[in-house]
Amino acid sequence: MRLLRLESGHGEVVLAEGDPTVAGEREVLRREFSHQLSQGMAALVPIAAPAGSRRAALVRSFEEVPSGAEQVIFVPPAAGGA
Amino acid sequence: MAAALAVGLLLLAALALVAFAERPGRLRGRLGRPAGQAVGAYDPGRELRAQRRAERLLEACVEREAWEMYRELGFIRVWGGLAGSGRAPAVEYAYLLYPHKPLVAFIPQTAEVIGEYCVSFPAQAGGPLPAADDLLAKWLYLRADEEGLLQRANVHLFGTRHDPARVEADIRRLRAFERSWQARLHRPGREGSVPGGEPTAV
Repeated sequence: MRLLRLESGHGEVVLAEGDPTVAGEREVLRREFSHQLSQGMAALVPIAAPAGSRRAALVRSFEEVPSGAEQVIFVPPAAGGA
Repeated sequence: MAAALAVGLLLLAALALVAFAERPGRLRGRLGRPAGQAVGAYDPGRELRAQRRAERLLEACVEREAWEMYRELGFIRVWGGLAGSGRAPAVEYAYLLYPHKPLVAFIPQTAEVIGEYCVSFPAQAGGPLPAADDLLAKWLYLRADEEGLLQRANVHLFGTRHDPARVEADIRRLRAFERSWQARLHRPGREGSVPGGEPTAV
């Protein structure tokens, strides 16, 4: 699993990468996940659905990340624009 | 005569030396950032690389049709998911997602535009997100939490930030794209098909 963050003027940045089924790596992922949420970022998981369709899930804790997720994308919180 | 020739030769030699001394600087300018130059210095390729990186991520996350739509039209159509819920039109509706511009909600059957939903992602130190990342962020939010996104959006009358004529033309271009996409899907050895299967996170 990769934790990515969308960065201004850069594109995505890999924050952490690891196998969540391995205890040590899971802890690193979980810690980084919590850090991003504490910074106000939203965690979104792109999900491949049947027949090639795609959807996404907004997750509020590391435990909510669907099993098998390959990436979690941290996005700045959406706000009303001008 | 000899003295004039000597002076001329000296002048030519001096000009050649000046040109030679300038060459490494010009070469560095063409090839990239010289060693030791500050990281924050202007890099004309930075935004392009960021956009390419963002486009690769967008392609990996959205449906094949949406990706091709973005490549051909510059925007993405996303179907609304709240129809019939009492919080949205009872009929099928959709959004046009543009980079760094408000979402446009419309009814595909009639091409009637419902309104503009302005959402933004607070700028970080480096300025706005690359265009494809801005689009991806809107797509992810819409697919994950459409209602939450609409609650945060500022709603404007159609024409506030978008040029109505341009949007109407985009809806016509979208219809043409959809016809062409369907034709591609039903063509033998179709290129738009994507294997099905159980939902899996990507």
